[in-house]
Amino acid sequence: MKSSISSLKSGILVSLASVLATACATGGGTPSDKIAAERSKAYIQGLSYVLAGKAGGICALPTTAQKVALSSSDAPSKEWKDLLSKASACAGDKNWKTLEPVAQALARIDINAPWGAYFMSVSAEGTGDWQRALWMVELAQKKAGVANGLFLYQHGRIWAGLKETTKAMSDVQKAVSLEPKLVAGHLFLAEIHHRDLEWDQAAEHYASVLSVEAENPQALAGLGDVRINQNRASDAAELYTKAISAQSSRLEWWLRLGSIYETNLKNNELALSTYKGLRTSLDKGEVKQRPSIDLQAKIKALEDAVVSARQPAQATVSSAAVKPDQLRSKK
Amino acid sequence: MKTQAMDLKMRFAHLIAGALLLSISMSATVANAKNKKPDAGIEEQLTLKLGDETGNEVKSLKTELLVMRSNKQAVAQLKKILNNKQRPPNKKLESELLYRLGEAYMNRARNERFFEVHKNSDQILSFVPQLIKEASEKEQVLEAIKTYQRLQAGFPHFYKMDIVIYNTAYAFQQMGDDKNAETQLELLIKEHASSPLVPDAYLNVGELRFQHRDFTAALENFRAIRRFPQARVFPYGLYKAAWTYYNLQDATSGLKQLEEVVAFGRQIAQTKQDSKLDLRKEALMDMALFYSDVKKAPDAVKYFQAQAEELDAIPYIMRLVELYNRHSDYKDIESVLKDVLKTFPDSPSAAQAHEELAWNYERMKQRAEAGQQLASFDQWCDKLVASLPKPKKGQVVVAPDCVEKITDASKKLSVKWHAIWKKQGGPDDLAVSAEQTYRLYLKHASLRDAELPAVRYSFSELLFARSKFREASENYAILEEYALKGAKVDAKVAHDAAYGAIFALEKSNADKWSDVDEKLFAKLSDSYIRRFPQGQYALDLQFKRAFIAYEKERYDEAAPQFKRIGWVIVGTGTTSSDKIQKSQDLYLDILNIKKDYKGIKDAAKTLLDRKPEGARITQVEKIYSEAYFSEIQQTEEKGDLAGAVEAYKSFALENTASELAPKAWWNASQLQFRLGDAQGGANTCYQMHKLFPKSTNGRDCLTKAAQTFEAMGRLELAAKVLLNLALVESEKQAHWREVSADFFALSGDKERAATMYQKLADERKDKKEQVALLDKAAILARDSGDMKALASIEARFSREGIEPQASRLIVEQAEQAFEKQDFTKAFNLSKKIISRDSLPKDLLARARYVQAEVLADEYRHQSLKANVARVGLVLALKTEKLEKAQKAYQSSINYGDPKISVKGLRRLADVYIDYAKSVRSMELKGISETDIAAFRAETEQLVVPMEEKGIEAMGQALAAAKKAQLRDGEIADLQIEVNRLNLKSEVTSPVTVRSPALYVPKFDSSSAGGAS
Repeated sequence: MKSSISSLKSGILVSLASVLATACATGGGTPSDKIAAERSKAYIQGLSYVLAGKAGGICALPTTAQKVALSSSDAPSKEWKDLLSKASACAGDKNWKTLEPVAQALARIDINAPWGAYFMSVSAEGTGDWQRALWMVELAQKKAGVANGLFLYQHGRIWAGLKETTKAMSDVQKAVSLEPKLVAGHLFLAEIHHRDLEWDQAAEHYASVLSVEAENPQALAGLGDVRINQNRASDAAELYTKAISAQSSRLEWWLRLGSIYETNLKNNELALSTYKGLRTSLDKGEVKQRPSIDLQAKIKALEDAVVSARQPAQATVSSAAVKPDQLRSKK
Repeated sequence: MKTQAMDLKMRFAHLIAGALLLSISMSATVANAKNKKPDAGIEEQLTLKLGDETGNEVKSLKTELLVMRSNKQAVAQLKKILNNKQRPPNKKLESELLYRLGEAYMNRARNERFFEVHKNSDQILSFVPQLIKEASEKEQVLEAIKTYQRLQAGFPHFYKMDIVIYNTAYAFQQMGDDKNAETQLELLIKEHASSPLVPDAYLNVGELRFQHRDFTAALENFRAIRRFPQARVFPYGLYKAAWTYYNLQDATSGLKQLEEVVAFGRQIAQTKQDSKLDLRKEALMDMALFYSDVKKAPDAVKYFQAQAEELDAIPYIMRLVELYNRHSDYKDIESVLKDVLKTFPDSPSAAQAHEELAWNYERMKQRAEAGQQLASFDQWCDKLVASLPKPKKGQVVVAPDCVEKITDASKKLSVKWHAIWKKQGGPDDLAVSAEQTYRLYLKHASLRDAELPAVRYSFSELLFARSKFREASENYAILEEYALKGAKVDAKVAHDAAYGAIFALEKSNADKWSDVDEKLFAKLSDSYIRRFPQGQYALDLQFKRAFIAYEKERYDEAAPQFKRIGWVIVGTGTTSSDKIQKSQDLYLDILNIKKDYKGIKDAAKTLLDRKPEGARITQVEKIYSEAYFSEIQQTEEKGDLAGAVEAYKSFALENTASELAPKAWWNASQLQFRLGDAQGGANTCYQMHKLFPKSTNGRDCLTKAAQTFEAMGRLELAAKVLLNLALVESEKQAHWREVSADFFALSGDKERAATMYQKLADERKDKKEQVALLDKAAILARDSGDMKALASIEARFSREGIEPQASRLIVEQAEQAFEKQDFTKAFNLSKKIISRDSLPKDLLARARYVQAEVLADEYRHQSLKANVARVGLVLALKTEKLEKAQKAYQSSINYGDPKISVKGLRRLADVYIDYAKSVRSMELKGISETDIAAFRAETEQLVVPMEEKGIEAMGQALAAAKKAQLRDGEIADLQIEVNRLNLKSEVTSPVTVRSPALYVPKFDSSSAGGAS
């Protein structure tokens, strides 16, 4: 019952956001989409989108010159790049207090650029002001003129923050269509589909992630889990192996991989190898969490099983199997 | 009549006295010559000089003193001899000495008379005050009478006794003793009939009788003189007889007597005798009087022509005319004068007739004829002048009498007619005559006539009045020439003429100034201003001069003149004229034509500093503000936009009352936008409403400000602007206020926004709109934790039955009651909702779900613990509760709300499974194992289907969740549950969905990255 009440609050916020004035409520302040697209073009070309914190730069308040700089309505100002860099840095630092004036300066000086509004959205989101965050990103979208993947993505993020998952998925889906390199968007969609047991959709988005970031451990592990449910255990083992290779600290992946070998693929040797690899990682402190199973007993049992199994015939080691040495070297 | 008689008497008295004096002076001269030789220098000293009145008076005094001294010596000597006791004179000598003494006394009497006559002369009084004081003619005359009477008494046979008697009579006359005088004269006539003094005696007696108006006696004596045609007084006797007849009312006889006098005089003249005896002129002159009494006017000219013969008859005719005039016989005058001019056309004396004829017409008020007569007179005079011999070099030219007459008459008549015309306002022919006559006067007049300037001025005035402006101007201007030539011109006339010359010139060209006229105007106005710097029109003329230049678009010339009038002269504070204001306006106009707005601004500021009054201050303020504004516009046009922004703002703040102030403020805002200072522009627009709430641009400015702030994401500022915009744009007031509230909400000021929404809701008539606003207010109140406001709104929903809000509140209350385990309240509140079919399905579903939950709770609390005897009942009760819960869940599911349906199905599945589990685990006490096994077998029949229903319901929940795309983890949860119920092992790891990570833009290192 508690969950229903908390969802009620988020529902109220959503409804408020939908009824509040949409961007450019006063009309003529914004040009047509075509004109807006033309004006904002210079502000979007040559940019790539990176996860907050990966953009570099230093978060700082606008300089005196930036505070008094005149607005530029025809072409990008000389201030905008520095301000953009500062804003990205502040967002990475989650320094909303500094981000807001930087975003305002951007919005004032380069009034046609979408970035002031975008960072004001980010700032509002950071302080939990969802309605404002939505409104601002919609303003940014307006200024952009044409559909922009990042702004749709931000819109989806806000819906996600408001627990409006369906709306969030819709926006993020559109965003990644426009901007496939927004891997976090694919990952978000993949995880939802994964959770909701929609294997094909989940696999598709995990694959999209991996097409951009081939060693994304979450995507590898997630896709690996999906493959199991799709009865593609070998693929699953291979993906988990890559996932562990990319990020060896995740206990559950070791166990999952061991289980796949042992249960799905009936390959005790690789299962043994996996559990031994886990033991080594535990010993080295790479994996912090303690396993719920008796790892030593598991290894002993598997060693026995392997020994007994070797008598009649020599087992073939899967090329996808992860050797402890390999894991160490990959780390 | 008496006067004329007296004049003649005096003439005769002097004639007689002159004879006496001649003899005396000759005697005195002889006597003086014996004593002293005359000094030639003294004679020269005593000669009178013409024009030297003071000197002549002194010389007369000297002469008189010399004569007096001589006479005194004579009296003294004669008395000494007569009174010598030792050697008394003999009788003959004594009589002779007495005769001489009498004469000496008479001479002394004349000396005394001199001083008596001159007793008021300061000059003589200063020299001989004592003599003046003691002067007495009477004493000397009395001494003379006494001496003559002693002689008559003592020496009756004295050989000059007729003279002694005559002199005695004269002395008595001097004393005013006419009686003794007449006695003496009659004695003379009677006792000395042969004396040559007898005609004189008759004349004197006649005079005395005439004087005493005894005309008959007088006539007798005058007629006695006719017996002595050789006597000197003969013509006088005739003449006096004529007058005596006239006084005896016998003018005809009198006229005949005068004709005799004339005839006698002609004879005297012809024989070249003493001209003093020729009394023709006097007689002819008096004839006019007598003629007027007895004869007709038409014959007059012929009569006098005949009487006068070689003499000029015209003066005597003019005398007659004068007499006719006295009797107002103007027709007779006209007749006579016309006859004169006809008879004597070339006589110089005709001038009199010409002039008089003109005056006669004037007296008859025939002014046109009078004017024509003067014109004829002038022509006649011109002819006369032309006929005169040319003067030799150096010779003084003496104008003929006619010129003076014409000048005088024309002056008098023209001025008079002009005055009448002015007074009567017509007729025009009088003005015509006046003008013509003025011209005659001015033709001949010279500056010797002191009245010439005044007459010229009057003539100019007449010309002006008759719209002959140019000639009027020329004539007015001549007065200055007169002044330059030394003529005395009345100050006011001089001033008015100077201005008149200019004003008439202006009228003559109807204010269309040719270059020639303008030059003349400049000359005349310069003269006026030079001569009358403080003159009434000095300022007007300066203005006019500038104005002409202005009208001819010579602005560089006009501007400094207007400025001088409008700013310098007025600065003296001594002049007040509309021309000053006009000069100011025209100067400002020129600056405006030149687009010298700074000049206008500065000039207008100077005027304002002088604190003008009334409407002027408003006018100048308007000019000032417009110039100021235009100056800023120039700054803007030159590209100094930042400077223009500052200037516009300063202007607006300094001239808040000006209608241009809001425009300036608006311009400043627009320039700021152009400059790229969008925020500054928006702020300026925001202030505009506060500063100039009535501005026509206020709405546009506020709209622009709101748009700008919105575009910048500065919603808190946009919200404030929109509040002002709502005031300005009344037709969209509600809309702007709502958007403003939205912006306040989006800016974090949710409390304010909530309040605004509520106010807006109060004002809305449309229920839907009202509810929508209240919804927003409620959401914000809840979001900002303002429970009081929220409660108020919700109370309103309930109070007013606003749906579905009121019902939603009930549902929420039901849900809260259920959470607080107040199941009865929860159930009853929900019950209220369920009966309202018109409510939204989700609300009905939620209400029914609450009821289902309550019933499910009742079901769970329905214990299955019981003894064998009650097993059936307990089980029945449990099943009944189950059915109630099941029914409630199913109906909540049936409303079709996806979330409630999924939840309902899941809860229903739970209940089913719980029922199976509960029944299966029922504890039965007090029965055998066998019975228990039988009971279990029996109940299993009931439990298994229920278990299957539970699994089925759970599967339905999963399917519904998938169908509804419930993406908050429900699907996975349900799937896990379904798997568990179906005894399927876990094949998937639990997935935690993480929020999508934030992305930020970054410049590609390889890319140019847009603008620098």
